[in-house]
Amino acid sequence: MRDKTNGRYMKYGLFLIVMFMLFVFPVLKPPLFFLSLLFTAYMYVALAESWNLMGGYTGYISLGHIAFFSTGAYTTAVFMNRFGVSPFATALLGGFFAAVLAALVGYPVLRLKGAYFTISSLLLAVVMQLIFMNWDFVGSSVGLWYKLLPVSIEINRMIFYEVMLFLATAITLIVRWVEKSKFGAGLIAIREDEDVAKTMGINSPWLKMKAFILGAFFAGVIGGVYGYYIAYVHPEVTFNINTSLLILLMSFFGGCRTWVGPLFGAIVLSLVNQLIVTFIGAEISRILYGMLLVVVIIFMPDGVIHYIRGLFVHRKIRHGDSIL
Amino acid sequence: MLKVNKLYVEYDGVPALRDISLIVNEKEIVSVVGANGGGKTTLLRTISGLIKPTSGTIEFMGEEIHTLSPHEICMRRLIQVPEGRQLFPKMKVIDNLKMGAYLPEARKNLPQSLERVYKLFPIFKERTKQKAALLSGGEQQMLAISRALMSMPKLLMLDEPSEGLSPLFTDNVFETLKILKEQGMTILLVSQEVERSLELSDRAYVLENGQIIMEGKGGELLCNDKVREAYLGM
Repeated sequence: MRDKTNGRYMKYGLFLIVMFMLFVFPVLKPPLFFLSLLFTAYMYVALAESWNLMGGYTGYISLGHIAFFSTGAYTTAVFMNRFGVSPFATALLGGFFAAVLAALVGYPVLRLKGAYFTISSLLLAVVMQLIFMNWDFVGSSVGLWYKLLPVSIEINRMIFYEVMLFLATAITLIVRWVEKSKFGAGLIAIREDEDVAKTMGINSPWLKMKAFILGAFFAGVIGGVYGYYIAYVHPEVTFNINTSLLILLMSFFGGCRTWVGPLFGAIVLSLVNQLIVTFIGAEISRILYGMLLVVVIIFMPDGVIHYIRGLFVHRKIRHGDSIL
Repeated sequence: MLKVNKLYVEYDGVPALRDISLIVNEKEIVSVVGANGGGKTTLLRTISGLIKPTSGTIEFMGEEIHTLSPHEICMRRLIQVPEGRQLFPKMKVIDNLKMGAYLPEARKNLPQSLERVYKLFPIFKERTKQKAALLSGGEQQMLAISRALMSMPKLLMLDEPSEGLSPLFTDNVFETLKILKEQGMTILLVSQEVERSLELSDRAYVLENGQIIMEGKGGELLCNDKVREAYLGM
């Protein structure tokens, strides 16, 4: 018993130390490249975790996450352009609009299952892109620019680094909390068997809706900050369907049954991708990236994290310990 | 307690249940027997709210429930054990049980309910952390029943609880139902195990091609020539 509590303190301690180190990292004045690299990694962690609420726990694979992300980005861009409000102030509003969109779309679309749901969610992203492409108020096919922060590029990157680190940490902790809550238990029951879940008193339409909206809200906030980071929004760039796919792959890579999976998947894949591109070459990177995914999906269908845990459990059994 | 009145259910225009009426009184075991494809599972799924009837009414404790959604019906503590022991296979035994106590009322009672289940099936106390998929078929059925008990049912509905089980476990299942009955549980049982079900039941209905063709006391039906010929091969 004492071991267990000690173990928990160790974990918390380790967590705090790592977080502290990440927060003070920019003070060491690392090359800008590292700050952008980590910014991207944190953003994918946050996106993959927010996607996982729906895609991982309930098993409703959505390809529309980019639509919520872009809703957030466009919200902050429009508010800055038309009213001169700072995106850091309107990012939450972006999340709110994304959540509203999720509620409107989710009401009909969450009745669909499996591939039908996935395709509908993909269509959401495609249709939104077309609408924004032709909507003058949001800049149509020209896009919108943000006014840059009146600081040096180093300070600028540093600010975004800290903001995104905060978002990724907060979202991951919330998703982790959801996973361990009764809400999460209900979501997981829906994934395991929706009909059985219903017969046990789980209000599945409402639970799915809540997860969908919460995930969209997070994506909206992240998008709002990201738009400001790259300093412009454009339908082709912001609504890039590949981002939706990338988020999904990261979650699957790490394992979408737990909150650890998307965290791991997003960090590893975004770092591997960026580092190989930078130091070896883009062509090689594509090949390695693809091979990595193929290997994981064939040999570790439940994700890397699940596989590693499995090894751990088997070793325990071999040594004669009971796992029970 | 449960009153089904002229229930008519169709799948894409093809009738599956035609004017079914049946009653379950408190502390009674009622079974619905009949061959495959007769509509037994459809009947239970309709009562649980998973399928909406075309016409007819379902009343539970004096309240019409056929317009409610499944979780609302569940909240009224009318609980179904689904066919084919649909557990959450990747979850641990204890988590499966806890999922049964998902609703607030049942959750408050979790420790007592767990104790009750452990008393009925001591094996689960030893295997709380095992994955449900690793239990034997019979144990899985017991777990499915236990999970339903965790919801503190007023009326327990079972769909083919002995399907695919060895004779030994079939005995166990029916033994368990008998114990539950002695504890005062009301049960609606759907089964192809005609003889066993009729023996156990206070009353029974014979369902064929979506219609109730016979009803009566369990023992009476057991002696009925037509039933014996059609279902017991005697």
